[in-house]
Amino acid sequence: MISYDDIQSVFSTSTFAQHFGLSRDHAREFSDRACELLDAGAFDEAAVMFQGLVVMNHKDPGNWVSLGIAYAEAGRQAEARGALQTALKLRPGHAIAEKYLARISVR
Amino acid sequence: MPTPISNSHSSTNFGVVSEARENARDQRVAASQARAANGQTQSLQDQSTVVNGGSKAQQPPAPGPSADAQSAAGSGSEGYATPPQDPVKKALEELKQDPEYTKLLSQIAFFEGIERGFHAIDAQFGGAFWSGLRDGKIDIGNIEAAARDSSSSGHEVAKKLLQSPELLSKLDRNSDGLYTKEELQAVLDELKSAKATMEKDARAAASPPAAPQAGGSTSAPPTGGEQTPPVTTAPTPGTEARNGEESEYQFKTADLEIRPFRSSATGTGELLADSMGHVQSEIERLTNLKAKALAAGKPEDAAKIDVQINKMNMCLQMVMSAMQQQQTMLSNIAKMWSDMAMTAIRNTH
Repeated sequence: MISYDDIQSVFSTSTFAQHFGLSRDHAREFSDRACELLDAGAFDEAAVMFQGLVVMNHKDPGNWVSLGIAYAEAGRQAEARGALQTALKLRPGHAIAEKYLARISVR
Repeated sequence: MPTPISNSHSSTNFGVVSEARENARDQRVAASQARAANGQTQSLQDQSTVVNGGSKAQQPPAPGPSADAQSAAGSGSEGYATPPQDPVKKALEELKQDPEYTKLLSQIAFFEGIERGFHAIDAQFGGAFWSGLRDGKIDIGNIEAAARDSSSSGHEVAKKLLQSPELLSKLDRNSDGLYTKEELQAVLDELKSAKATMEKDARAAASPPAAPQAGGSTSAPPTGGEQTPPVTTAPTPGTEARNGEESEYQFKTADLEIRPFRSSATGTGELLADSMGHVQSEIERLTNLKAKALAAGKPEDAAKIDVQINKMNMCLQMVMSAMQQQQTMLSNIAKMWSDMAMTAIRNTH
């Protein structure tokens, strides 16, 4: 799994989205599609789209949370933990990240 | 709060959701069979329901993974590009902060309110009110006198008007009498004209100067507003090295950074396609730089460049895969509609 630092080293102080002019609305359009896959139970496919989303803006903790949820639902626990922990580093106390991390720990 | 998927109304989403539901049903059946065969545990969502002891009859269901992901994704406050704002639109927005402009707006709103009141009264009295004003600039004293005099032609109108002191107070120009329809219109026209002039001036100040005419010239750069960066990329030492095979090998840490780029596209798909093209060209640039480093006997530089190439490749692959996934979804929807159309055609024959 690609890490926050890997992405950071490519885009230096900015993000892919800032570099290429992608707005929050563009990202939303993409994440909506990924959520539809998640809703349909296509967890691995949703994870592929959320991976793209974290590359687009690795500074958005919400993108890491969504990726973590997709991984968790796909049964990819280690990757889920990594993504959710990245989200918590970016925004300590992120409620949804904590909720899913707790669920992973229960399993 | 984002709209839940199930409530989505766009035609595209309708198709996606239908397709998604179909997939979901198939997958749930498959998952259920797999659990039965392998004795696997329930999904995280199911587990949560059991842990919480919740039932649909007793409490609302907890938000599912899709709802959680949807509320989380793209919720960050930084890291996204701000769409370039139209300089004229921006100037007009700024104008709304100008006290003189806001005063004009409020005056226009006030007199338009009076005009609406006039129309309402006039409609109620079949035009008698307007004509009364036009003929003699009726003032409040006249209205009160007419209301007392049952033989006056304006008696009924005056009585009705006195029942609306709020409107009368708005129409009264102190002791000068009331505004006639024409006077009121003139006041409004004057205010609207002043507003239009201020807007025109703001537009002119924000617009770039006109292109030079044949035989003429202009050297003034565009002023005001944000300018969209050009699509072309800025040269860096790395670019220069790539452009001339004979140039000496030089390496700086800054060469590892992806070069600036801004696409003129606005759609998400086009923007991402342009972005992918740029990342690919950056990987090529670094690959050339790596070859030069090796040729110049600098394996340590080549190793650093190689690490960066790998990271760029990972980013590229992840965004490309995401795009392909989205494309697959759209293709599936198109196929589903096509199949439905074919079935319908077959059924009619």
